[in-house]
Amino acid sequence: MNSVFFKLVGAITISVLLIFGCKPDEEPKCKRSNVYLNFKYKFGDSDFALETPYTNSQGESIMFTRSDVYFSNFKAQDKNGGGIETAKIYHLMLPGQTRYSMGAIATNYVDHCMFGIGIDSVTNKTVDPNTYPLDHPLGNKSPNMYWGWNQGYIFAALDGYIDTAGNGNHDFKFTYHIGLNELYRLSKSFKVAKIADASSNIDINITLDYAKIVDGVHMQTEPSTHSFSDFELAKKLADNLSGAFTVE
Amino acid sequence: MLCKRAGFFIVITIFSLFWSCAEKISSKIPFDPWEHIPAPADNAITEDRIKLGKRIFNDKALSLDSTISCASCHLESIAFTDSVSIHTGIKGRKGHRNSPDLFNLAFQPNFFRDGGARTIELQILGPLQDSNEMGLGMVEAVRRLELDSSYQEMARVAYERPIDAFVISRSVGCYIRTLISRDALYDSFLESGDSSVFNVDQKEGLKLFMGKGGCVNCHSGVDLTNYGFENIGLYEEYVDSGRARITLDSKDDGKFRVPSLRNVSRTAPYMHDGSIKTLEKVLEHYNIGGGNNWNKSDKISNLGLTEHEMKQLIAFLETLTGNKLIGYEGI
Ligand code: HEC
Ligand code: HEC
Repeated sequence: MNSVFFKLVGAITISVLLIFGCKPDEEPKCKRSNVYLNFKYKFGDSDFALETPYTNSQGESIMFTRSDVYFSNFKAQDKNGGGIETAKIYHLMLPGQTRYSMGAIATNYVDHCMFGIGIDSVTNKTVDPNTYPLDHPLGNKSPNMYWGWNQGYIFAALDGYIDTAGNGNHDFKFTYHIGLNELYRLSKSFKVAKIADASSNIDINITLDYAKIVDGVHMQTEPSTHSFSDFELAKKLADNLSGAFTVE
Repeated sequence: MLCKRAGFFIVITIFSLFWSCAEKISSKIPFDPWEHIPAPADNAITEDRIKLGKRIFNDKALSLDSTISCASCHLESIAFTDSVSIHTGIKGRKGHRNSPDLFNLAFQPNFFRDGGARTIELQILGPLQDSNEMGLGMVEAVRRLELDSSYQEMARVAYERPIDAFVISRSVGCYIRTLISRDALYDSFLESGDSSVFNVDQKEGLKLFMGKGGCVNCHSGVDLTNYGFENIGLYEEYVDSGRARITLDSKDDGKFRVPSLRNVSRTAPYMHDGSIKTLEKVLEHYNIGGGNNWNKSDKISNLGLTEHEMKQLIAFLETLTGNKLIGYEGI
């Protein structure tokens, strides 16, 4: 009898709080919403997909066969430029997937946001992928996203082929593997100005343009980097990659 | 040395103080031979874990074409090294470096000849992933071992979970940690502090090691390494830049870890690339102060050792050879 009474009082209190506790936009602090990043993958003006030829800025026909990119440490800001508490979440971005959960935040409005491309140095230096399940972003992957010898996460693995003869055969391999703490990059701080929808979701639409990643790279003479073996090329690609994201 | 003896004395004193009560409870406390081996919190050493790790270490299923296991390059009979300069991995592909011994790694701060791996548990990803060694990767390794119910059972017993990357990396790490070589003649000397365990040549060799040879400037301590990275002037230009590959700092060009010299009489060929075939040739290298290299350590210089002195140094190096593994015997 007693316990039923308390349950009832509890339920009523919660309902009252839910109904009257929060007026949208006036007191966003007590709202919780789920943030998602929605990626659109482009190559210049075309939609991007693996195994599809595109023409780069050098006029060569290129085709990506692999694009695995870590992004992490999503940060949201409110109207006054204050930081909104967000969870430390890592994602491995694959062109087949577009929507990535960034977790819940204690507000219904995001004014600005940014994220890291790669794995921050603290995690990169301390985490052992063997301690995560295979389906966790930080767990072991196939193909590998962790270097076995010079150990640390591969932040981005972009592989593919170039049609060097211009005869429709993409037979010249390129391998761009970016890693090392020095090459961890932050995206720009994007103006988003998004309010949560009726289901308390905030969807932020981001475009990743692959043409920008390889822009200014002479792919035939610079076909490969593993970061520690060709650091300057990896640095150029890391800078290009962090600048290749835009928000609608 | 003094410290070691003082420590020993304190241990004995404390031990004798507690002797009377220890006698009563000792039958209830199982003797723990792993106590002295440092191990991380998530991978305490147990017999079940060693057994599982040893099985995986010897399992060829860990290579892409199931032709080689860890033990193919790390043979127990020769101090867990192999006898070639550079081992051939799967599909006849050449590896990058000479296989080092695996003794006393529990006391080593980082792994690989350039220090590229932080922990023993992480190190396994090196050979497992490398397309010139095992070429399989952890994801596929888990998928293969998962199918074997006896592995599942051993994983459950050892780690109370199904076989996965955690269990594979931890159990192999646990096994490697227990590969301890501490029963060489040199150890009798360390324990007693009494150089009369050595014959004349060995004793003179020890003196040269500590003095005229300057070896102890790098090969110091119980395992005859200070774990530093040094360039000993093997080449005018190193094809393999060693430590610089990790730090990307040209100051580390041609530097490799000072290797432990335990069992060195069994671990030929020598150096990171197995380029020196015998101990005599190693000493010739040191005796002339190494070759020219802009980054050579200033601890390497012309030694002026006679033929006889070099023989004596080798006689001392031979006292570093152990007879057996301490610890895991019988598992
Ligand atoms: C094809 C030969 C080969 C195979 C197979 C192989 N290793 Fe090795 N191992 C090497 C070489 C070469 C090195 C030195 C690498 C370096 O320094 O860059 C090494 C280094 C190591 C080290 C570090 C030793 C030190 O002093 O830092 C450990 C531990 C080790 N291997 C364990 C293993 C385990 C466990 C396996 C199986 C999963 C394995 N190895 C398979 C050749 C091999
Ligand atoms: C400046 C530091 C330094 C000094 C001094 C030094 N060593 Fe070394 N030693 C090293 C390093 C570093 C290596 C490994 C080099 C490589 O892998 O390329 C090595 C390798 C060796 C090896 C080969 C071990 C193996 O398993 O491959 C032997 C044997 C050896 N040293 C003996 C000696 C002796 C004997 C002396 C004294 C005459 C000596 N060293 C002096 C740093 C030193």
